[in-house]
Amino acid sequence: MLLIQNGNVYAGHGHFIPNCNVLCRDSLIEAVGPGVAADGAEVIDATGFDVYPGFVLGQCAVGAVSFAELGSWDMDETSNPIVPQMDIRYAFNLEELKLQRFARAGITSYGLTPGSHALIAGQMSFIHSVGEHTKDVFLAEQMALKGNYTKTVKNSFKSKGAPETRMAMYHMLDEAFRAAAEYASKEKKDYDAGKEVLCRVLRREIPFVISANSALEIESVVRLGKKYNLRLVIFGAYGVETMAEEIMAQGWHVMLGDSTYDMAGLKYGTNHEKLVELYRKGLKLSISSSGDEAYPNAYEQLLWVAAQMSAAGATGEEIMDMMTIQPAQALGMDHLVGSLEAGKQADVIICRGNPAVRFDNFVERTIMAGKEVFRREAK
Amino acid sequence: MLLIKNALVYTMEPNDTPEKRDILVQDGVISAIGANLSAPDGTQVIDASGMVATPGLVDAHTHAGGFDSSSPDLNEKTDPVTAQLNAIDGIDISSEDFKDIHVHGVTASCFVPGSANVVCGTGFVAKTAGKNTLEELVVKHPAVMKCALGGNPKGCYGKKGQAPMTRMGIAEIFREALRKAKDYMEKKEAAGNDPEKLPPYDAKCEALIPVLKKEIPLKVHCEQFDMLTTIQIAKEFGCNYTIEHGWACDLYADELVEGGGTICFGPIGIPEGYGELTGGDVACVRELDERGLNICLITDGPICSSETLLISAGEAVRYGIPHMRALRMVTINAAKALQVDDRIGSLAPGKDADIALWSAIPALETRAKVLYTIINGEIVYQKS
Repeated sequence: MLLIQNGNVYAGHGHFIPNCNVLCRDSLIEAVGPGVAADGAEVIDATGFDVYPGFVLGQCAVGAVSFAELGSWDMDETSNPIVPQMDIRYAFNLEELKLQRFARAGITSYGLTPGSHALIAGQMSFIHSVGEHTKDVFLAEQMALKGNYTKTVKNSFKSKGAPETRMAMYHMLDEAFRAAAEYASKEKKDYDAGKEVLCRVLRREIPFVISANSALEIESVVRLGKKYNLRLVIFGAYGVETMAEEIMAQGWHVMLGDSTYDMAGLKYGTNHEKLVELYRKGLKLSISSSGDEAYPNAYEQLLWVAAQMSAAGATGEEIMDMMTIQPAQALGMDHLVGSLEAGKQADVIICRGNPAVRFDNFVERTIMAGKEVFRREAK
Repeated sequence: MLLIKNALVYTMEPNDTPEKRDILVQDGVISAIGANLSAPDGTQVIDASGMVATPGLVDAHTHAGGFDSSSPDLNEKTDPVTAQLNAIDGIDISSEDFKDIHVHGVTASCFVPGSANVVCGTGFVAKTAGKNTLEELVVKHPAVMKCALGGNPKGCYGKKGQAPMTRMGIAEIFREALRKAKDYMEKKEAAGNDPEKLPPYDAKCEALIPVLKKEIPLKVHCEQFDMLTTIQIAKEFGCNYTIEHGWACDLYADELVEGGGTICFGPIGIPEGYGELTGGDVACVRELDERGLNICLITDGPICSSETLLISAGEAVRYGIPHMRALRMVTINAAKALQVDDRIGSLAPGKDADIALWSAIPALETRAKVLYTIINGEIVYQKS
C-alpha cells in the first residue's frame, strides 16, 4: 500500500482539497481524503506539493510505430483504405515503450492508436505508459475505432486507387457504415470482421475517434456522425470553432491536436482563444499531441499545447481538466483514469505547482498503478 | 524615437539581472536603458508597465519561407555538393510561414538550405519583418555554409544507387569538397593579380573560401556520431563549425567541449527510437551548457513553428536548465553562433532595437504571449 500524504490534492473542476491524503492499494486508489491512512503503508510526504491525476493522452502511436524499421512502420495498414478489423495491440512493442519519457512528462496513460493514413484505420487500445510486461500495460482493448478524414489519407491512396478526393472519402465512409448497418439487419450472413467492428460503432458501444484537420473536413465528419448517430471524438480539430455549436449539441468531444508541428500546415487553423471561450460554454475539449501527422509522432507536445492554451487565457485548472478527465471521458475510460477517486487506477503525479502554468512547476514524482515510475533528480 | 517605459527588462547582457527599466530607441538602435529616461516631445511612448522586455528571439536554424509551397525551394537534390547555392535565393518573404515568424517574438533567423546534400549551400541571417524585400531584411549574407551528414544525404542519393550511400561516402565527399577548395584557394593566392595564372573559375570552391578563411562557419546537420566526423574534418581544414540538431550530443561531451563549436540543438521533444531517433530531449545539452559550450535552441522551421522557439526554452527549464540560461539559448547564444552578436541578441546601447514585449516572463510562465514585436525600433507586431 502507498499513502501519498498531506498534499494539495486536485479534485477536478478547479477544486483542491488541502492537506489531503491519497491511499493506493495494489494498482488502484482505495481512498482520498484528509484523514485517510492505513497501517504499514509506504508513505510519500507530499507536503507543499500539488497532487494531480496522471495526464491522459488521448491518442498516440508511440509504442506501435516500430521506429527501428523506417519505411515499414507498424501502425499504418494501408493495403485498403477501410480496415476497421485492424487491432493496434498487434503492433505494440513493449521495448519501444520502455525507451520513452512519458512518465517524466506526467503522462500515465494514453489511447494507443492506429496511424493517420487509412480512412478507417483500426481499433485503439488504452494503455499505461510504463510497464514491465505487455499484459500489465493494457487497460482496455478495442475500446475505440480510429478513422482519418484528412489530406494524409488522400495522399496515401491517390497512387493506389480511391480515395483521392474529399468526395470519395465521404462516399467510402458513408458506404462502409451503410453496409455495416445492412449487415447488422440480416440474420443470415457470412462473418465479416470489419463490419462486426463497425456495428459496435453503430450501436454506440465505442467511440469513433476521427482525425479532421480543417473546418471543411470537420464539417463532413459532423454530417456523417449525425447521419449514423455515432459517438464522435473529433481529433486534430484545427478550425473546429465554426462547427462548435453543432458539436456541443451532439455531445461530442473535441480532442485538439498539437499545432506546433508546422510541416503539415495545420497550425493556422486554430484559434486557441476562441476554444477557451467555447470550453467555458460547455464544449467537451481535451488537448493532445499530434498523433502521427507530425514526424516523428511524439507526446511531450501535450505540454506545449497546454502552454498555448495558457497563453490563450485558459486557467491552470481548466488546462489540467483538458489533460485528465476530459480525454478520459472522450475515450470512455473515465471509470479507469482521469481523476483521483476510489476505484480508479492509482495514476498520480506530484508536482511543485501546476505544470501547465509554469515551466518550472516540475513533475517531481509519477506514480502509475500504485508504483513510483519516475522521480525527478534533485537538481 | 521610441521610449518603452517601465518594462521588466531582461537585457541578456552578461551578469545582468532583470529590473524595471526604460528603453530609449533612436534611429533603429538602442540609445539608452535605465530608470526614468526622458525623451523629447513627440517621441512615441509605450507604457510597458506589467510587461516583460527581452531581446527579440533569434532562431539559428530555419527553413521557414522555403519549404511551404508545393515545390520547396531549399533542397536542390541533384548534386551532393552545392556549395555555390544560396538560401537567399530560395526564401519567399510573402509566404505564410515567413509572415508568422515575428508574431512570436522572433526578430532574426538564420535561413538555411535543407539537408539533402552533403554541402548544401550558404545560409543567411535576416530580420523577420519590417521591410518589403528580403535584401533590406538581411543582416549577414553569407553567414554560414550549411552541410549535412547522416540519413538525409544517404536517403537522397543512396536510395538512387548514387554516392553517398553510406556515412563513409559522406565523409569522403565532404573532405574532398574542402580539399579541392583549399587547393583552389592556394592556387588563386599564388597567382596573385596575374589573370593568366588563375585557376579556372570554380563556383563551388569560391563559395567555400570564406569557410577556409574562418569568415563563416560550417553549419553541419549531425546526429549522434556524425558530430565526431564534423569535428575531425573541421579540424583538418582549420574551419569553424556549428553542430546542427545535435541529438544525443551528451554522448560526445568531451569532444564537443574541446572542439568548441556551438550546438544548435533541436527540434526537441522527439520520442526515443533507434539510430538517428535518439537523444531528442533537451536534457542532452544541460551538461554541455554547464561546461561553458555555447548552446542555442532551434525550430528547424517549418518542422516546428516559430512559436516553439520560446516553448523550447520553456522545455529546457522543465528539464532542469536554469531560466536565464534557457533564455540565453534563444537570444544571445544564437546570435553568437551566427557571429552577429555585435548587433543583435541582447539589449544594450548601440545594438539594434529588436525587442519583444511579453505579457509575463517568457520561458517561465506559460501564459506569456507577445504583446509587441519591435524590429529596428519599429513596431512590426502588436497584439490586438
